[in-house]
Amino acid sequence: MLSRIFISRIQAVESLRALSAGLTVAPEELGRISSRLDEASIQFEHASTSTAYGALAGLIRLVASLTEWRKSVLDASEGADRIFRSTVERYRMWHREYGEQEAAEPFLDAAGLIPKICSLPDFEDLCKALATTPLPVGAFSDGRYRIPRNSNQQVTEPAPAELSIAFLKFQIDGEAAATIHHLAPSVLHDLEIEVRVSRWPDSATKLRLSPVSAELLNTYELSEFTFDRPDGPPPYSLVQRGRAVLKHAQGLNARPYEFKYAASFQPTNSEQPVSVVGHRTLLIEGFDVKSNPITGYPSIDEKILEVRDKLRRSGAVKSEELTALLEVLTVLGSLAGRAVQDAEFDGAWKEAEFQRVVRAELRRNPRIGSHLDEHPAAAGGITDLSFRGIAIELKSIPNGVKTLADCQTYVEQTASYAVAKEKQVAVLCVLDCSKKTVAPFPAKDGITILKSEAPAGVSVVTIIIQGNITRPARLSR
Amino acid sequence: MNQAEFDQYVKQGLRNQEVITLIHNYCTHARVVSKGGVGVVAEMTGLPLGMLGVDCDNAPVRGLDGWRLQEVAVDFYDRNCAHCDKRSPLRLPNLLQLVDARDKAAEARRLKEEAAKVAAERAHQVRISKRITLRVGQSAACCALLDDIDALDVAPSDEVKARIVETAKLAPEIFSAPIVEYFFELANSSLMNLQEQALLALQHVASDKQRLSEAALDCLAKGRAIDVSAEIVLARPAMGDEARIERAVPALISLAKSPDSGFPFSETEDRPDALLALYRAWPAAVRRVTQELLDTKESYKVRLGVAALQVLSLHDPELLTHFARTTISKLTRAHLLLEDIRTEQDLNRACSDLRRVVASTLLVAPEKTDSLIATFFEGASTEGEERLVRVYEELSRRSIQSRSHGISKFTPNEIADAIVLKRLLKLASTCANMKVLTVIAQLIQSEPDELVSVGAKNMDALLGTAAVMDARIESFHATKRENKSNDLLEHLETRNSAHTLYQLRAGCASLAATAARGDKTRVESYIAFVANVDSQRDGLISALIEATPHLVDSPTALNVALPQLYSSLVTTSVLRRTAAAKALAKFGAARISDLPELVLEAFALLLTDPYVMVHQGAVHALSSVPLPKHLEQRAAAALLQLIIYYSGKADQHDFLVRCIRLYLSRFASESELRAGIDALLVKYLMDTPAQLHASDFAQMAKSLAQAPNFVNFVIHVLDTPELSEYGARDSSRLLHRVPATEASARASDFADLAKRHPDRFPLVESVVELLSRIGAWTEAIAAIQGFCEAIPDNMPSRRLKWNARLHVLAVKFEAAVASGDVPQQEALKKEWLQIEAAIEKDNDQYSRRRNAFPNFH
Repeated sequence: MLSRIFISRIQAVESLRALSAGLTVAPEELGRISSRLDEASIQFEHASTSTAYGALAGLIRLVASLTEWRKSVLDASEGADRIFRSTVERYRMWHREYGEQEAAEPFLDAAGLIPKICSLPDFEDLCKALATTPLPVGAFSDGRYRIPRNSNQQVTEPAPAELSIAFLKFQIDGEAAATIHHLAPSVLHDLEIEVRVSRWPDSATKLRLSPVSAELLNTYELSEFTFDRPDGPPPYSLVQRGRAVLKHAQGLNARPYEFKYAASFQPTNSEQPVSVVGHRTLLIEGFDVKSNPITGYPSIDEKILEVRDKLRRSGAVKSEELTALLEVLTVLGSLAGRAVQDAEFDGAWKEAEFQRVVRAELRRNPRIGSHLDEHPAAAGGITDLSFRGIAIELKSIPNGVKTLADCQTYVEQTASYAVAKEKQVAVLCVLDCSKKTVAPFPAKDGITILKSEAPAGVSVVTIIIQGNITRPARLSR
Repeated sequence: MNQAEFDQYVKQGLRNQEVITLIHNYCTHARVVSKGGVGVVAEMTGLPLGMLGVDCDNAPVRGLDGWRLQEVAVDFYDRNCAHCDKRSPLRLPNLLQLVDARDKAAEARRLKEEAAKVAAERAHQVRISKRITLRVGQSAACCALLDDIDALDVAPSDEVKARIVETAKLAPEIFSAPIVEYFFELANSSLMNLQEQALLALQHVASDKQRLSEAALDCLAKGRAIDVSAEIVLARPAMGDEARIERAVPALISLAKSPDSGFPFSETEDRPDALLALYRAWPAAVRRVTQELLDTKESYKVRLGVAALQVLSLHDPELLTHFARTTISKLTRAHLLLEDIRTEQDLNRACSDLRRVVASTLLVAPEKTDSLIATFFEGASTEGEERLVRVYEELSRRSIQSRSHGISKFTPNEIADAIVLKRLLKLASTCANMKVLTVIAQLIQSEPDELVSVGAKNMDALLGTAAVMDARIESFHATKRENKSNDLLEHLETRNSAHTLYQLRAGCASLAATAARGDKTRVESYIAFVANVDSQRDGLISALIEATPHLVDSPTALNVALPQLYSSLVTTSVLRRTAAAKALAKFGAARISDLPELVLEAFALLLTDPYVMVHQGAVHALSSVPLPKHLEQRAAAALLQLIIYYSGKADQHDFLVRCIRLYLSRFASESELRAGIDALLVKYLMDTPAQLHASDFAQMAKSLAQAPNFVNFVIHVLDTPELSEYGARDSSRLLHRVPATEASARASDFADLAKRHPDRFPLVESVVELLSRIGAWTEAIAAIQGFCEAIPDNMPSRRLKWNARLHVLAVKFEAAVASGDVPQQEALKKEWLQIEAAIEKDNDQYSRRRNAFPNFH
């Protein structure tokens, strides 16, 4: 292979050398050399060597034009300027093709001389520069990776537009299906759907939008939407209403029902959608806080559900950890609500006293009872309380906390206990003992998730219990 | 391979051994070398078998390579030794013995040919004399006809042939009684040219049609002028006598459907008309011949009998049932009833024909044939059982065969297909012959249309068989646990058997699911079956779960199957979790996009599953399961954890490389890689066997090229001594990814690498390309020179060395261009032209001896 190819490279260098010395080389000869270099370029396995040979072949063709220009100049004939302008334009084309190619970089400086050529010595400088630019000695392709060109390739019809379905509107009881919906079980709810279909497959008679869910089939009933082939040109907008009903209520620890609407054309052997875009998922919470309250404080119940959903979405918390956490939150949420409603923590409390009360409160819950540990060791320290490995850190702050963010001070300590027990979640319960000069904030606003620093990244569910609340009557004095 | 084939190989090996001695005795310079791998027989016997060739340092031309060393040796002698003056003889006998034998045989052949020529010439003269006598008193036109016969007697000519036939058509009166008699004489002669033309002419001029038919039947009996004889028989099939008819039938069968010879492009056009016409006129005689053919112990004759049945049964299907017992018996005991079988292929070809005809019989009379097969099955040998079960396989491939013959619509035969399915399921449940079970497993797994169409009505049987197979697997393992063996062969056999049983269980589940597809009630029934299986039967449930993608052809079906699939993803059973992951992988991207996030989340959790089987299954599935963004991140983290964990497990390199490939192609961002992950991954890859993963490395190189240890990795991989030829080529592609700055800094290391492996030209070539691209000319020259110098200075390597030297000159020339050294450039060009001239001269000198064909002189 090399013996066939490389001789043209030698001839190219020789010709350029001759031209740089002011000698003459026939443009036809240069044309032949450039053709052979072009042929050689496709024999290499590596693209960069192919590019380098291709770039040189292009430059030799430009040099061939310039030899004609040189002759015209020497003969004082009329076409010299025309040839030169043509060469410069072709140089620009060459530059567009190879200017950005790393493999052609060694030629760029030399080639840049072409538009600046004013005299024959300039041309000779160009040839000299090209004659002293080396090329890589490339490996040859054995043809394994080359796709054969099929000269008899039939002209295929252009592919039809992509078959896609966009969900434009997806509402449940008039609200957009965006986040989690709380729906009462055993009650009928409205579903409304609007889709846009890019085109209708020839063989399809119907479009069916069906709910897909991992839930057991007898726990829900959701409408299936069926559309007949519409009239008129595509795209088509299709609207339909249906119903949804959950047949069973969920427990607090259960995940929300998840339904996703899938689109398919009927019969099933028709062309099917390539892409289905838009929101088409329904997340429905079948836990009814009104009929099954958690703490007795609806706003706190909602907050607890929010914390639960957030932790679930993060994906970092295991379900058994979450179950234990929710048990603890149920008790502490109730305590936080009562602390505001009944001002249960009057005056300043020591941490030990606070712990006694919280411990007793937790133990009263029959699902916690004996599983609550007090002062178990973790990470070289002593945890206040722990339920099924979930650390519960208690703090009584005489000066109180102004915002939830102030509790961040205690988050790393709490997180350390969690990490020691290989948990991703922990509870921080802060008793704010500061003297209140204003009305207390709603108990639900004292519940949030604070994150410990990376790399631990433990989610510390923080609950502020408001103590030392001033009697409302005193605030008026 | 049967015993006869084995013996033949051993005989050839012994002969090769003798030839090696003869070559060595002729000249001590010549040596026999293996040009390919070592086969089983060579390994067992130690005999020189395989692709062998002869090498010699003084030989300018390569000889042929081959299995039969005697021919190879003589060919090498003709190309080289016959012209050599450097012979170093040892003793007698030597290679000349073979050369003499070859020359003597050639001479004997020549003499025989000459004698035959003389005899033919004598006979020709006799025929000419006869025609001279005939000419007396005949018209000029008749004499012209005889002239044509004379001409045809000398050389075949289409023009003359046409003239004779046209004369018979247009001027039958020319054919006087003596001429017609002469033509009948020619028809009975042994001269192919004249015989055929005589029959063609007699078709138009002979008034005695009975005699003509008899002449044609006689020709058919001798296997001559078959086409024209068949035409005559077709015109008057009732003429002739039974004895002649019976002798003619075999030739007509081969014309109607010639048994496949096994040679490519040897197919001939089937012309069944004459045979059919004869069968209509003489059914008893044709049946008798068919029976006789089937009863013989010669495989070709049996195949002819089968061919007759195949042709005639299209018009008389009853014929198949009439011969059913014979064909089934012949198929079952083919290895005993066919005596001239020499190779396994011969036996396979005969059995293939018999199998087809039994399958056709099964199609015509399903119940009767099935019970007949079952009777033979009971007394059959292991091989016989396998042959019989392949009849059912043959019948279940009709749809595939229809498609391969361009017939888009396939007509099912529900009764026959149902019988086939039931028989297969029965055998799967009861048969102990692993060969039979393997055939059934492969057939069921391929899910042919025939079985799918009847599977819907037999879903319970399919699911029931899957359950039976599960029980068989359990008892198989229990038995093997009791009789544990340390024998490797037995261990492998046990593994294969277990694998077959697993395949059968999976195949039945999969076929049931495919059969249920598209029918909501059946899909629900399948899922109900899964739900009702005893939870202790983990293996069965996982096989059924793994097959669920076959059920799903619409979102409605997906919704029915999904609760079971989801519960399998989160179950405590390791097998079921793995099966669910595999099932998800089979759904395809479009169906996956319809899945609720809950399901994908459960799948993502499998990537961190503590059980090896589960997380490995999940990683295998991951490449086919697109995930939403937040799960994608979780999957990336899990994959990285697995990579770190498996980096310390030497025996799990396949899985590690798979993980790294997946991570790089799907998850790794540029910034993450630059943060040090690329170096870590390269470090892990360096501990995996490069010879097994060269192709993977080449594909990952783009992502890893910027790692600080990438160059070390490339050198490490390319230094691997176990790299195969393809592996070396793949690994050389790594060099293209080395960044220029790194390549410059390590130029001398790359040159040393090339020098360490002068026998790997693709590597040296790629190193030179890399070094020349960055302008490391000294190192590039050193690398290519190392390669050139490693080529020995002898005659066979001379051309290779010249080409290597050209490569050296090319690199030196570019170096001279870079330094602007014009005198050096001119000197190099001069040497280049000298070498090209030498190559040209060598081509001229040896072109004749390099002829690709043996005995070129």
